[in-house]
Amino acid sequence: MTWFVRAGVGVTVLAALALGRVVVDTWPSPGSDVDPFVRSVEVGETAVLRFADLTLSNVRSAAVVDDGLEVARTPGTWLLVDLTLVPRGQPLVVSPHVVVVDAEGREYRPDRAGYPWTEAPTGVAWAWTVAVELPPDALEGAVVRVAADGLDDRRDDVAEVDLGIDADRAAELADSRFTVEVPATGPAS
Amino acid sequence: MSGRLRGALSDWVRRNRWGLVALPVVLVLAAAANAQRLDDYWWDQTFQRATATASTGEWVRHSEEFLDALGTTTRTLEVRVGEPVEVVSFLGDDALPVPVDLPEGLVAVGVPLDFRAEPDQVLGGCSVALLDADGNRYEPSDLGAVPQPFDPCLLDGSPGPSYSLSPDQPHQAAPGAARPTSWSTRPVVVLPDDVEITAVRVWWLPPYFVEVSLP
Repeated sequence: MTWFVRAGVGVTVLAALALGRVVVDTWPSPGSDVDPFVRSVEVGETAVLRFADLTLSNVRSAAVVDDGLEVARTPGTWLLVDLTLVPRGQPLVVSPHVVVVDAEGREYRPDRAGYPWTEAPTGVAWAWTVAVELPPDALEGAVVRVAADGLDDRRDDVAEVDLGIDADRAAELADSRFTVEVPATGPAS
Repeated sequence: MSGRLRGALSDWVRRNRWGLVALPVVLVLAAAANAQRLDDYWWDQTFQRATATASTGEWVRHSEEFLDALGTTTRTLEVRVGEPVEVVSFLGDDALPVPVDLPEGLVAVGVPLDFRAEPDQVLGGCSVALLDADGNRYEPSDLGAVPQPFDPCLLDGSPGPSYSLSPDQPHQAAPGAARPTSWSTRPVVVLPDDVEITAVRVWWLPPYFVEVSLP
């Protein structure tokens, strides 16, 4: 091979690498090797996750929530979801991470203190009611995401529960005047 | 294959022979250079190294190293695991039996543990679990409110020496907290009543553990 051909091959390889980089940057791949495994279910269905079987059985709303320690009002709406978790493999020592994501992608988390979590034994159905404060316009099309670890869900299972809230149901939920008691976490009866 | 093509091929092999020799070595090195996570997250963080296996009623010796402010220290103890038994009641404050109150479908199971160790051994922070055939771990729980030690391997009043938090703090028991040379505990695990337990595991930090299989 002459030096001219060698240089040509080198330039061609570099150009191909550069082109590949431009293509990847311009059209990023939606999937990535660190994405969580999203298990999509509807209300009442069970999502089988690495760390637990999770069922979201009920969607309610309230104007005031009372967890026995504190009574909290909101100018918006309290969205309450009743969850049942059956820990798999080992106890759920730390509370799983729950977030409500609305149709625009905005995220709402349980109140600043979170909810007291008592360690859920392996294989025992554990009832957990989570209240999230949000503006009424976030209700329609909202989904609940549950992960074992809120800071690091890479390559881990994440449940995504479609709450099935259409415009009518959103208006109904937003209109709640109820005070709802949020029970302590414990074995499902 | 024509003679000319064969000639070109052997020519190529000859020119690239050292590259071909190096290729498998380089592949192994490249894989090994990215394998630190295997060590950090799998080999060190999961239950990989049983220090002892036994049946119920047998004494076994467990020895492992731990790290605190005084550096690396070895702890050694002997443990004997008895057959787990369902706990249906316990003695209340007035010395009368109190029935264990659990939701239907759950049982409380006590795990009898006997220990022998020198009083200077640091034994805080152990874990105990019942295992089923699928490897699910059932661990001590407050559910059912059965009295049990805070640390499943130690007596609440006499835990013995604790870990050292600074280089000038020796491994020494708090006044009145000295540990006898032998003692017994009974942690209580709450689990569904249809679970079939096959083994008991005792450990401080993975990867080391003691596993006792049930008959």
